[in-house]
Amino acid sequence: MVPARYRVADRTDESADTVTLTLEPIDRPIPTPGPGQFSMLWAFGVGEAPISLSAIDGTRLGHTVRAVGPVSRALASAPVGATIGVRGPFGRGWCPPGDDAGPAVVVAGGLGLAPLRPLIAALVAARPRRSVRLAIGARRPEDLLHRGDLRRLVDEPGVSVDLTVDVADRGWRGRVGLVTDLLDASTVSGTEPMAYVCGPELMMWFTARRLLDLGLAPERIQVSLERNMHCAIGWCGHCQLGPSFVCLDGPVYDWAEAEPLLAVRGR
Amino acid sequence: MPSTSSPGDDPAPGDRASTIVPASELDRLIQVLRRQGRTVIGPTLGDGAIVNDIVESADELPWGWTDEQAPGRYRVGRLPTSEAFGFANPTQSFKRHLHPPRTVLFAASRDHGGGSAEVPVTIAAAESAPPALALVGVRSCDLAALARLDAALTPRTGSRATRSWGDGAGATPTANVDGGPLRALEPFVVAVSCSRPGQTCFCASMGTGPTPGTGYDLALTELVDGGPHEFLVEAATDAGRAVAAELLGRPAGAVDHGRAAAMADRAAAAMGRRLDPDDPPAAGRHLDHPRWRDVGDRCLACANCTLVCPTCFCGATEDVTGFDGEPDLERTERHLVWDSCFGSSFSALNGNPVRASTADRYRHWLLHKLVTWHDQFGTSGCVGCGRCITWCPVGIDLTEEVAALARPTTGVAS
Amino acid sequence: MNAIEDLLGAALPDLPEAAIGQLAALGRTRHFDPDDRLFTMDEPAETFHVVRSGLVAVEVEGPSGGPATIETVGPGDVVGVSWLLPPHRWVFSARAIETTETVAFDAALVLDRCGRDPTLGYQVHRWFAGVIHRRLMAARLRVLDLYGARP
Repeated sequence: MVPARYRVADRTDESADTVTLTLEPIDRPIPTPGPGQFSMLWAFGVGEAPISLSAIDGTRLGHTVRAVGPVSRALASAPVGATIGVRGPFGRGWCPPGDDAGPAVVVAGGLGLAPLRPLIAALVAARPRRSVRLAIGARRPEDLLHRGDLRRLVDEPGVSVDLTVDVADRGWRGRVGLVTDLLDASTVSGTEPMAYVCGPELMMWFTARRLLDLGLAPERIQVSLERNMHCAIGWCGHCQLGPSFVCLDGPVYDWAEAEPLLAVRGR
Repeated sequence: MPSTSSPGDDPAPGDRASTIVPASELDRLIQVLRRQGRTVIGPTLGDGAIVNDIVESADELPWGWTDEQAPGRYRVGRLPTSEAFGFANPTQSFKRHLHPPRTVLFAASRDHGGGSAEVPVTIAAAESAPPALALVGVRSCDLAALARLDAALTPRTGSRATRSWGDGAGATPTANVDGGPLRALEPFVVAVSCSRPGQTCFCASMGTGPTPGTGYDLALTELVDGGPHEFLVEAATDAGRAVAAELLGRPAGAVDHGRAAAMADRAAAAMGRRLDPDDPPAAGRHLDHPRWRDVGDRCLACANCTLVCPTCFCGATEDVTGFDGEPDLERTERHLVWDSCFGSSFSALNGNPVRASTADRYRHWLLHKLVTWHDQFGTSGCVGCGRCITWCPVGIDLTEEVAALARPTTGVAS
Repeated sequence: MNAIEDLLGAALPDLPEAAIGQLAALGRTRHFDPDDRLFTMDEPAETFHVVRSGLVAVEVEGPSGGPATIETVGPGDVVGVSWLLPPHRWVFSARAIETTETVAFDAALVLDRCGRDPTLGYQVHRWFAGVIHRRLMAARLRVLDLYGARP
């Protein structure tokens, strides 16, 4: 339960309340995380928060933090050079596509793009090339994360990028509407597509429903769940969802596992 | 070290190192343990209740005292006899020794004296020097609870395989701790069979009593059936045998074991309550049962049950900060403190609780204790000690609730 | 004409062929360059469109503020719903974002035909009930502001 010290090497403002911190180890680095895993980031004297890895680059860790509470506010305001405590990596991350896997369908809502970002990087770098179809929703155009990545991905062979926002001004020449409206039969065409979905729980619920309606099997839809976490090692009891400890069994589940857990309200 | 023999591994009378000692030898037992450098924790009478506390001589045990426990009711009372362990169970179990209410995880300091934006932070793990303890008077329910709590507090990885993305990335680090808090603490455990189960007790139907299972060094049975006031002392470990050897007594014979067995039978028959093992899984299937709302209306979410439960293990982390008189050196400690799933912010996610209503939280607690604990740890989380029933201010009885929840609804919410 | 029938048939798979034919006869193709207005809020709702290609923004304009796009409509979907019910005035504006082709319908003519042919009327109203339902559900989900931070 003792964190390793990391230094804020860089910070990128993603939007008004969201920052990506790039951390470098001061002490011995934590083991290399996989896409979909998370760290417990500690702000001195304030507390810890579970934050997914949004970039994995050797021992440099990227975490995209949205300031919503005392801990995340302290993390999001950490200047370059500040010391942050890191424990991890924790949890079960995104399932790598098997050798026979078909197209990857990645659906992100809001901050949900952050835990998907290392997955997208790995999918795009994988050989042989597979079709990667991104459907990304955000509140407003200025809330879209990692815009530099998105611009590069548009030019990447085999990658399609579809964006939509909830509301926009005249400067936005793209789509306005729900992220589920971006999903149609062509999204899931091909053999054995695998969908990776991350965003607010209700958005994941509707997205999974839409993908099921389009013919995807529940085992081919992965989601990333979130619960209150204090320890990330199955100790503190907070993250329980039915019989499951989200810090140990998740945060990534396939829809066949997740749907019965989420179907009971207030569980 | 507590015994590692398996359940059901019950040597026949005469095979074990078992002796009969007069009741007066109880003090010698305590002194032997104290001379080993151990702090002895045992039942005492304090503040109108039988509470576990530090015990320095056998005089401090609650000789001749008993407890009356009922839903939402606890009283102590006098016995006509002078038993040391004539009560059902102390108000609190021995949980706080495995799982202290507050633990320091680490200390850190931040030196602002340098004047630059880069403020150096130093982190030091808290040194753990667990005290040498002897737990005396551990009822079979509390004994079973020690093992279950230990399993829950042993850091572990998840139930499913980790993902591997090549070159080892994506694995979860296994905790660098050998075993759980029981192994770190290594208490000397003196269990005691139950002679007077309480009205709220149901260890027999949970399979955890009234005689101690595994995990003790010595097990005592207090013989107060009209014959001389004696204790049957049974040793299960080498450490136990060594301590028993220092007590003055005689080898136990078949008659003595017969007395003990008869007392155990009487105790098993006198259980106040019963929990049907078929009820929890049925309750776990009826997640929309109207009884949840009904018990949610009665429950105050006061968290008493989680405080007195010997297996509830939930904790919260908090930072405790100060300058301690030094102008530039900011110190903080990170603590782990007891927490309860009945708290309104326990399940808070981005500020909003996932389990918003008391009914949701009661359902979570009950199903965790009786149902999902099996999925997580392979046993029930409940040992039948009955404390949650006794200490609930409104007398909610989980044996009654789970029985109601196991029955299909009649279609009309009460 | 055939192309319009094809468009309507694909957009309204449950509409019987006869109704498709009747409707198609009332439509004519229209072309819009980027930023061309299809219609403006508060004006009488005279013409509604089914998009054939391109993208149309549904906008609202405040007295002092610039337009906010609240929805975009793509191929196969309808632009303009307020023609169906009194006061038959547009609540929002519609503007082409890209080069856009539509099939435009004279609202008064369609309403007149619906009045005289109850079967066609029923089919048209079922079509628009579906459109309105879908948009209402989407709007309600967006009201939840799922991507917004909760303090």
